[in-house]
Amino acid sequence: MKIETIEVAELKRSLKSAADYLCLNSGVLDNLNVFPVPDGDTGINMLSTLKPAVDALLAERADSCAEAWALLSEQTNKHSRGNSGFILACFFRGFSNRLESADQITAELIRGGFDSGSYAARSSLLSPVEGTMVTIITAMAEAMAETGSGDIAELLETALDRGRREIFETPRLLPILARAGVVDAGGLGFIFVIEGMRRGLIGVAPEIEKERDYRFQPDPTAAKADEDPLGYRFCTELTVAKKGKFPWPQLKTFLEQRGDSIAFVHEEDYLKLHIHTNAPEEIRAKMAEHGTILASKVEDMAEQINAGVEILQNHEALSVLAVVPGSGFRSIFFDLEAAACLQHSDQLPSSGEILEVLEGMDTSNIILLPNEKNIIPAAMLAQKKSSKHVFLIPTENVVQGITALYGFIEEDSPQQNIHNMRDGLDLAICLKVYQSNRDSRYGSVEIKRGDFFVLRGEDILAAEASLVPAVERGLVGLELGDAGCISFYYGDAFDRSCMAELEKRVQRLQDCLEVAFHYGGQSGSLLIIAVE
Amino acid sequence: MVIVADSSLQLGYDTINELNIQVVEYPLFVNGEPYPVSMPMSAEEKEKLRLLIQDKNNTVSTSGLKEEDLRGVFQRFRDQKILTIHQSARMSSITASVLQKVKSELSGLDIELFDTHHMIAAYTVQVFLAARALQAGTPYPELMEMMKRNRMNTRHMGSVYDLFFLRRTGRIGRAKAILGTAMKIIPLLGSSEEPGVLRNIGKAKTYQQANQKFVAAMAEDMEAKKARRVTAAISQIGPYDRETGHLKQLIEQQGWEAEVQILATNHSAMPHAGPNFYDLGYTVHED
Repeated sequence: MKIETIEVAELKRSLKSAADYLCLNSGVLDNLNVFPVPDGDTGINMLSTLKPAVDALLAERADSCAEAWALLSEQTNKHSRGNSGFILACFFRGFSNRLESADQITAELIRGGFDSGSYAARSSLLSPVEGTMVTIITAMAEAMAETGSGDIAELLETALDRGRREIFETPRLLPILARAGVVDAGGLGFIFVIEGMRRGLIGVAPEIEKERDYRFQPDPTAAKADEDPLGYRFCTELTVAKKGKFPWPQLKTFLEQRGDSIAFVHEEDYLKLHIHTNAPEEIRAKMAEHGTILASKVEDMAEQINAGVEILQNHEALSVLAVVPGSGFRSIFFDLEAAACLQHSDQLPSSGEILEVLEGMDTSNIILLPNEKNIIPAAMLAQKKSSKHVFLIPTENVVQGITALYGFIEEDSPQQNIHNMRDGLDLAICLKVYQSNRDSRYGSVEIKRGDFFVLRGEDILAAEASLVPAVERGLVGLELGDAGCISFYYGDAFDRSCMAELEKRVQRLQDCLEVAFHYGGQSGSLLIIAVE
Repeated sequence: MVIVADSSLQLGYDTINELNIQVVEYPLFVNGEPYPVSMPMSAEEKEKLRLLIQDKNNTVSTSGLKEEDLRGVFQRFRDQKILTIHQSARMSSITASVLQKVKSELSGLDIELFDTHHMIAAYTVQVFLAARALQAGTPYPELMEMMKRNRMNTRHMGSVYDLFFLRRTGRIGRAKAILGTAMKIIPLLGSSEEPGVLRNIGKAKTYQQANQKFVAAMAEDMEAKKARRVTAAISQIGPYDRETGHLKQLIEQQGWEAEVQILATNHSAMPHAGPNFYDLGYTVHED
């Protein structure tokens, strides 16, 4: 279907999908991160920049696309974190400038927005390096400029094709990537953001990316970088409210003498700086001479790198913490070798509660499975605050948690486990069955009080007056294909007298289908269904 | 030259005869009493043994190869070079020492011992390739070189539906057993970097998932060796025709030059692997 214009609602949906895509795949980016510093945080930096901005956008009313994008730009700028987050925020700012006061977004505006965003991202860097995120943004903007298509989906697809091709050129442009056998994580992160937007527009769910697709045989002969990757130790970010005129040329020289990876956004009333330096205090003092420091952040990248190395070497102490929605799931996760479970009811656990369990665990390396999309932000916060080495695998539901654990092998290294467990995320489809307690409308579907409805993610697959036909219809819509087993995890409100009928009807859907019932004990949904 | 193997070889009796492989039997005992086994056992006889093993009240075990059996075979081919190929010495240290003893006793004979470092299907595929190469007229030095290369390029994986038996006969120690789980999870085992030692390589809920994991590992090996050709043996104990058929099909769909055979497991593997099991052994060919 051709998409000629985007309205505010579609733009919001598209950006939400971009944040979801990044959320699902941020771990891949973290693991690929070697430039400018191998501190394993590209994914989390980009996500921390985009996710709160999108959340704020969804909560606010915007009357035009230009207004919505301006809000997004303001928020990404506010939340930007790390080199990649900074560049992403700059891109959004440049894009926003091109929209002016547009109510709708057209293909022409997207082309212009990419061009302007690409310029803003590149010009924010004091010394842009090729083979990085800016290379990918520029390539995608160029691809758009070369096509005259008026179809927005096609335009994004063209840009993505070019981006996905160019990303494999990054090791050629940047030898540190070739030596590590990876593509540039920031550039790939930008591709994930645009891929998420495209999927949001055409109504396709986010997909789990495989880290191995972006790894290749390391080339030890690739030229060595002149400098130690940790020539500058502290990642420093400052936002300064300006007072008076800013002496830019002098400040530029001052910064260049004290660090690298310098990015700078110079707005009318404030400026924002990102720099890797050994003198964060000196830089802070200098900036304070020219305005009021509104926000500052200093991170020790050496500590982050050492933490990564330590984790790779410590193969002994690794365990899994699973957040689970019921007592039945506790037993299931323990059977699957989780060391600890945090059980929650309708009320989702806070980051503090997750942190408390993490801190109380015996091992120092912990794989955290949130098992619910809405718990992921709290899990991320707990991961950040924890004194342990916490690896977050962003399982969006309990079924993904179970299939991720199929790949867990206690005696393997954390990195190997994360790789295997991520591979397990797409082994099953998760459906949830609820009973409506009031008349309502879900998208275009009318649901009456007492109706049973089946959801896959946020899509409604079926709604019926009885449970068994609703489940049957939901499953029929899936095209079961190679499925070998359907597991029903039932909650406390499920009427167990339906089991026999449900089993009979489901087995009729396909030959040799194994059907199993397990007590999950969840309080929200009647059934959680895993199709494997 | 003649090839001697032991009865953990999974090839069918006809293939064994066609390839002129001499097989020495591992004696088998049920509840301490000798149980009649032989390579030409029929499918019905194998199933009867499987059901005996399935009853966990019965104790079914094997002992090492008998000295007199080995001596008998070696003496029979005293005029030829004897290449005696066996499963990993780690799996049967008694057999390994008996082989050494008999070889030194028969020092006048030209006997070459070869440890494949593997077992069941992965042992089988190596014996099969060696016997076929010999039949094709490959001279001894080249044959040995090929066998060493094949040993390096062989991998073993299996779906073990019940780890009780491997535990009981001491064939796994470190691999964590998932026993008594209501989830009916299939433990997956595979060869480790230590010859003859099995390790936990993950779990699966369905045979499709298990097979996909096996083939993904195979693809990684093919890619690592830049290989196009692979020879694979799939052996099964129990009613797993659908599972092994799916695995064969999945391998054949990869577009490699793949030679895959499905074999009905012979008796010697049963007491260890248990009555419900299928495994895959394959050798990647570096061309």
